[in-house]
Amino acid sequence: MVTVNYDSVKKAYGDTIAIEDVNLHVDDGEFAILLGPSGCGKTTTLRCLAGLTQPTDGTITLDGHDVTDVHPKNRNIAMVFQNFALYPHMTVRENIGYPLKVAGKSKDEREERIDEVAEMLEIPELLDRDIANLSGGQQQRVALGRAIIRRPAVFLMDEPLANLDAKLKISMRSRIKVLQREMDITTMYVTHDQEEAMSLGDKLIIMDKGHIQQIGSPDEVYHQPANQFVAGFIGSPSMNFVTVRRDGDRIRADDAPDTFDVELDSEVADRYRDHETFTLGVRPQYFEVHTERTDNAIEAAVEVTEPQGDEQIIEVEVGDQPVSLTVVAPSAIDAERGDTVWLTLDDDLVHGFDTDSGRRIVGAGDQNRGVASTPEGEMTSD
Amino acid sequence: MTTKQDTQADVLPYEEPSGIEQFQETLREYGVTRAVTYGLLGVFLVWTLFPVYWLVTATLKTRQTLLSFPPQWIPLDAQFGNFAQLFAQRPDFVQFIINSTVVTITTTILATTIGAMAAYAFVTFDYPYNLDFHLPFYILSTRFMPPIVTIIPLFVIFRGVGLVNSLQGLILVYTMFNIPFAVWMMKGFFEEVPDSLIESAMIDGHTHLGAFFKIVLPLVKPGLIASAIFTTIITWNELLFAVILALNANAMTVPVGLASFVTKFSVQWINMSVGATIALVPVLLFAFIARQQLVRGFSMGAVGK
Amino acid sequence: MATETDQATAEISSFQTDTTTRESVLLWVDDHLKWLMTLPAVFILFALTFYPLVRAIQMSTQQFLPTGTTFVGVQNYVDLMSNDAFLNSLAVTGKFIGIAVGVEFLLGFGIALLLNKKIKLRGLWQTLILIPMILSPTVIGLIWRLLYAPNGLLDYIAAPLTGGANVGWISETSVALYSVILTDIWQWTPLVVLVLFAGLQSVPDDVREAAIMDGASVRQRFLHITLPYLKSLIVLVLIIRLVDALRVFAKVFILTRGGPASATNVISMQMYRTAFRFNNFGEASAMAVSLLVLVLILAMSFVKIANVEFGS
Repeated sequence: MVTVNYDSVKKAYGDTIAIEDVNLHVDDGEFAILLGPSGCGKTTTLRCLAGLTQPTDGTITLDGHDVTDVHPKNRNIAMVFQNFALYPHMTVRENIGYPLKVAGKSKDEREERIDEVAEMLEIPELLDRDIANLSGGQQQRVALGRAIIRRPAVFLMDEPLANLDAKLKISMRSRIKVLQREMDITTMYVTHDQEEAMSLGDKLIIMDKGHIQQIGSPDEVYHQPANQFVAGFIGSPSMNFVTVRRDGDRIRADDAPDTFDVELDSEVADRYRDHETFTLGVRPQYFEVHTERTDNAIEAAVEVTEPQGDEQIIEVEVGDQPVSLTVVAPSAIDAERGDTVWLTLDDDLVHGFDTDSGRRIVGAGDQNRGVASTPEGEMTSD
Repeated sequence: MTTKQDTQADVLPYEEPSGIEQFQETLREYGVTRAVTYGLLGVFLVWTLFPVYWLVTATLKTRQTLLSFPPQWIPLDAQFGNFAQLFAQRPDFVQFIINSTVVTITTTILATTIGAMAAYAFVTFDYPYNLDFHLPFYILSTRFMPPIVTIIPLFVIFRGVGLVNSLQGLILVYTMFNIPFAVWMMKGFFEEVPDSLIESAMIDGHTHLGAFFKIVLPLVKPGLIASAIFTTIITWNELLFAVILALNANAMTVPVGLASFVTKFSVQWINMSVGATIALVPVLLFAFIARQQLVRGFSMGAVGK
Repeated sequence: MATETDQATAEISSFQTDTTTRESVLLWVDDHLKWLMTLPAVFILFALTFYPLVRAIQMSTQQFLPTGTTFVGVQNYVDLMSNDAFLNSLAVTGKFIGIAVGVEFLLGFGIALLLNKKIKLRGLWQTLILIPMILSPTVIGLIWRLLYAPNGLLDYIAAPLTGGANVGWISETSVALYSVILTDIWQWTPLVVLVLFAGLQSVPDDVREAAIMDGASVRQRFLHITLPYLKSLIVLVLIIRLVDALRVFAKVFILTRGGPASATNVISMQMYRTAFRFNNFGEASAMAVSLLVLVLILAMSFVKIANVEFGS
C-alpha cells in the first residue's frame, strides 16, 4: 500500500510564501490531481514529493516513511515533465531504459522490460528512432514509458499534456487514465485545466495562492464547492456570481433591483436566514431561458449568442449597472442580440457564498450538503 | 530628388535615381563593382597568407637562397635535409616539443574541467550575497589584466616554493590563465540545458553530480571541444610566462626555444624557420578541425549572444 | 498488482537502512555541490591572481638589493614619475595600441563591408583568415623577422622606392615601431573582420528593406540603420583589441627586444627588463601596479562611455 501524506507542508522563498498549510493524503492506487491557476503552488507541492524542492516546514511521508530529506534518486518515484525532458542524445530505447541502466540492471532485463513498456504504449516501432524525429504525442509516450518502466511507488506528472494540441490532449488523456488504472500506481498529477482534472482524477486537490481550497471528488467539487473560488474555477463556462440582498424569501440583486428580483422556495431561502446579503452563484446551465414574459424570472437583454451545436451560450445583461450573466441554453431557443429574455432559476441548484469569507453557505436539510464529512476535506479558504 | 517637392501626389510613381546612383548602377552592370570587390578581398587574402607561405617555403631553402636578392618565390631544389639538420644541431628541440605537449594537454584537461564545473555551478545554483554575479565577474575580469602584472610577483612566489623551471609550475599558471576563458565559453552552453532534464536524471537515479557528468556534459560537447581547442592553441603558443618561469631545458617550451634562435648577434635563419614551421603545424591542424567553432568563437557569437 | 506494490514498498523502505558510506559520501557531495564545483576555479584564481597582486603591492614598497630587501614605502612610485625609460615606454605603448588598433579597425571594417556583399566561397575565406590569429606571436615575430631581414623580401619590395638601399625595418629607430605595429595589424585585422562581418550579417533584413522602401540612400542606410546595430559590437571589439594590444610582448621580444634605443620599448618589455635583467623587483612591481590601475581606469571609463551612449 503506497500512500502519500503531506503534513503541514510549507515552502517559502525568503519572504515569499509559495505554499502553506498543505495537508493532504493520497490513498494507494488513487489518482490525485493538484488543480489551480498559475502560481497557486501546485507544482511546488508536487516537487516537494519528488524531492526537487525542499519544504521549509512540514513532513512528507510515503507509506509512513518520512522522505522529506531523502534525495530524489532514492524515493522510487517517477516523474513526467511538461516538456517531456527526454535525453536528446539518446534513442527512444535508451531513453526508456535509462532508469534501469542507472540502477545497474542487466542489458537483457532492460531489453525485456523496454519491449514490454513499448507494447503497452503502442510504440514498439519507434524504439530505435532519435528523439528529435518524434512528434509531440510520441515524445509524450516515450516520457511515460521511461516513467513506468521501473514500476515506481508513486507516479508524478507535471502538466504533461500542456504542450500538446487539443485533439491529442484528449486522446492522451484517456490513455493516461487507462494506464493508471491498469498499473494501479498511486499518482499525483498537476494541471491548470479543470476539464482535464475532472475527467482524470479520483481526487481533486484545488489550490489557490499557496493554500488548498478544497479536496474532493470531481462530483463533490462540482456540486458542493467549498468556496467561491472553487465554484468559479470548476465548470465551464464559469459560474455566475451576483451580490444579492435577501428580503424574506425574495432575493434582489443590488445592482439590478427591479429586473433581478425573484422569490425562492422557503426551504432554500431558509438556508440564508443568517445573511442579509450574500453572493448568489448560479451555473450557466441552471438557468431556464424563456422568450416570453414569465413570472418569478430575471429580465435580461441579450448581448451575444455563441452557437455550440446542440447548445448555445448566451451572454445577457440585467439592469442598468448592468449585471452580466452567462447562460447555456438549447439551440432551439431563438434569441438574438437585443432581444429580451426571462430567466428562471432552479432553486435546488443555486449556491450562496458569504460575501466576506467566500465560503459556501450550507444549511441543514439542503440537497447540496457541505463537504465537512470527510477528514481531509477540511479546507482553508480566503 | 525633385519629385519630393511635388505637392501633387504621384506625378511620377517613382523617383529618378540621382546621378551618383546611376553611375553606381552602371558600374554594377559592367561587373566593375564585382571585380573590385573580389580584387580587394583577394589582395587581403594574399597579404594575410603570404607571410606563412614564405616561412614554410623557407624550410626548403638554403641560407643563401633564403635571403637572395631578388627573392626566390618558389623554392627550387628543395632542401628536405633542413629538418634533420635542426635536430642534429639542436637536439634539445625535441625536449621542447615534449615539454610543450605535456603542458598543453594537461592544462587543457584541467582548465576545461575546472572551468566547466564552475560555469555550470554559476548557471545552476543560487548563491547568497549576490555572489552569482560577483564571482563570475571577478573571474572574467582577470582577462583584462595584463599578464605582466601578475607574472612578476608570481615569479617571486614560485621561486620561493621551487616551482620555477618546472612543468608543474607552468601547468598551474596556464590553467589559471585559461579558466576564465573556459568559464565564459561554457556558460552559454549550460544555460541552454533545461533544468527538467537534470531533474529527470535525478529522478531516474542519478546524484546531481552524476547527472552533470552523464547527461549534461554530453549535451554541451561542442562547447567543451571549442573550449579545449582554444585552450590548446593559447597554451601551446604562449611565450611570456614560459620565458620567465621556465628557462631551464627541462621545462623550456617550444616558443622559448624558438626565441633562442634569435639572439642579438645572429639569427639561425634555417633552423628558426624549420622550428617555427614545426611549431605551427599542430596549431594549424587543430584550427582546421575546429574551424567552424573558431570562426564562431572569434566572431564572439556576435549574432544573438 | 499486489506483488508490485509490495516490491515498490520494499524498495522505499530499503533505502533508509541502505546508507553505505559510499552512498553517504555521494549524498554529502551532492548537498554541497554548489560550493564544491566552484571551489577549484575560485581557489586557483585567488591563489594565482589575487594573491600575487597583493604580493606585487607589497613588493612595490620594497627595494631589492643583492643584500636583501628593504622597505621604502612609496619611493618606488615617486621614482617612477621621473623614470624616463618608464615614461617613454608608456608613450611607446600608447602609440602602439593607438595606431595598431586604429588601423585594424578601419581596415577590418572596410574588408567586412566588402565581404558583406554576396561573395562566393565566403566560408572558405573566413577560415583562411583565421590563420594569423591562431599563430603563436612568437612564430609571427619570427616570420616577420625573416621578412624584415636585411636584403630580405620587404627590402626587395621597397627597392623601387629606396633605390636599392636596405630599409632598417627593425634597426632604424624611426621605423622600428611601425614595423612592429605592422605585424600586429597583420595578425589581428582578421578578428575585426570576423566580428564586424557577423554583426553586419545580423542586421535584420526587414529593417533594411523598410529603409530602402522609405527611400534611404546607401549612405543613409549605412549611417542610420547599420551603424546603430553595430555600435555595441564596435565598442566590444575595440575594448578587446585595446586590452589585448596593451599586453604585447612576444612580437617585440622576438623582433627588437625593445630597441633600437627604446623605440619599441613597450611597457611589458620595460617591466620584463627591470625585473629580470636588472633584478629590480621593487621598481618593476611598482610599474605593474601602476599599469593595473591605469588599465582599470581605462576599462571602466570605456564601459561608462559605452553605457551612457548606448544605455546597454
